[in-house]
Amino acid sequence: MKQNKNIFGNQIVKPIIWSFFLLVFSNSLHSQMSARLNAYGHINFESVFSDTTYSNFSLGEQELFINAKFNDNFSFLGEITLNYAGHGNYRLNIERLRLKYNYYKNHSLIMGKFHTPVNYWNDVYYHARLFFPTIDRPLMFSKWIPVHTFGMRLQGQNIGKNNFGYDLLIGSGMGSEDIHNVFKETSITAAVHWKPTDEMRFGFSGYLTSMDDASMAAHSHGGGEHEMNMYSGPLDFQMLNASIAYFGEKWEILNEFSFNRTKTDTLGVSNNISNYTYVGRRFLEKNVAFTGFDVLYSGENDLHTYPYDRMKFILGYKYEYSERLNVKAQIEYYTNIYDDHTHDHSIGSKYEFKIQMSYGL
Amino acid sequence: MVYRLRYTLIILLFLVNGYDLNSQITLNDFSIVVIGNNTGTKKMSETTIKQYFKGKYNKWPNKKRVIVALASSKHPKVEWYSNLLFNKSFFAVKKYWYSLVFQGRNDAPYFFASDQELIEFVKLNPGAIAIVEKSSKVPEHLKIKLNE
Repeated sequence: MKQNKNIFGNQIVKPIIWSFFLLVFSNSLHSQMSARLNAYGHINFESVFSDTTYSNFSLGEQELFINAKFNDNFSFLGEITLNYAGHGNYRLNIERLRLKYNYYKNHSLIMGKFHTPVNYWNDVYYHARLFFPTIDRPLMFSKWIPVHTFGMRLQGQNIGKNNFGYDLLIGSGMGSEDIHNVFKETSITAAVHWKPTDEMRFGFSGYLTSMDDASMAAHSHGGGEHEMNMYSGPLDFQMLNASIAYFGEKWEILNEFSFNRTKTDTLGVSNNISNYTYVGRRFLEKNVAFTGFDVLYSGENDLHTYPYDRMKFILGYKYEYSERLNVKAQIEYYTNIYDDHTHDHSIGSKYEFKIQMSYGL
Repeated sequence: MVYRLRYTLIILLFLVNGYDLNSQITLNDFSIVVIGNNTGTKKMSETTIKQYFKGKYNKWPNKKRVIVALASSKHPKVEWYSNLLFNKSFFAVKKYWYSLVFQGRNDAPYFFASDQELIEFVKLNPGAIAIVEKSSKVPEHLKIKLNE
């Protein structure tokens, strides 16, 4: 198995990082710095109707968002979240922390920790539920979407008449998305998108990484059905994604498709697939009635997410009090794709009812 | 293959939102003037100027940073201006910009309650643009002509 770890030697990385910081702060000395602080958060209510029935009223993710400009070319962006970790404790996470150098027209070099631009959802919504079309992220986020990467990124946006965009990034792998274990594993992401109109965006991306220890993979940002990976051996991971997004005055459509292939010496190659579809109809400007269908299947010999199959049906309604406050209510029905008891990973069917209030200040 | 895909997408777009595409309003039809300070251009097409207002470009041809100034909710013509520039309501414009800023793609625009405030802001900030009514007292050197 090929391993592409340690391609960032200290001799290469450290001088680049220090040069970048030096460039930023020497430029900032010559101009007035401007900064902007926002806060986002949400409150959840959920009832689960399964073998056991329960209801929760909980404080969701709360976050601080900082956007600052050192000068015309250099900017800083930080996103920090606070999550309930049980027994009155809260966990602080750095979700995005990046320095951006706009070197030519709409082309930029970005360094730091950012959301991996593998699909529309991860490149546009981040952690603020205020912008989510449905209460939860698609199922694929709970299984294999690498939400964050720490590294370097070349970005272009709104290029030419047809508003093309690209992202090319090299950074940490799934086992080291944060500040520890950085550069132990490497991931490469290439993404392109096209915006034929202001309301529409098509995107395609490819992502690949190799991990020494698949149990360390950090991608648990889903709808709450994430399971720990017991396999701690090496694993190759390759992924392709396609997104179609249309958010018009009346109709809203989002489709996220994801396919990945994992390879281990133990069980060989496994093909895994997921698709999320959202359709919303806006009426009286601030009301959206929506429906969604989410499906995920991972192969029997997969050692990254383990065999899993799930379908989710969504029916919901959103009311936007303002651009900074909205309420969503949705009914969800979960079931397995294979309901014939031949798959021992079947976790049965259930209904969920959820209400979420999201805000931004 | 590429052309076929493009035509299919355009047809799909019309099916989904054909009416809205035909309801574009042009700045030339109204008593509006576009103003800008040290943008490096005195004449620009309407399509291009609207793209600057939508945050599609970060810099002007002279490398100055683009600073967008818009009418606030207290401005008496806010809905009209929002429709002219974005073909959207002011509520939709705020949502559009709020999301762009959170994505880290653009700097937030500045909002003002009157044409006079918009003119003053543009006058003081190189790279700033806004639209105001022609009847407002606008210094000649701030005006950007539309060439279509």
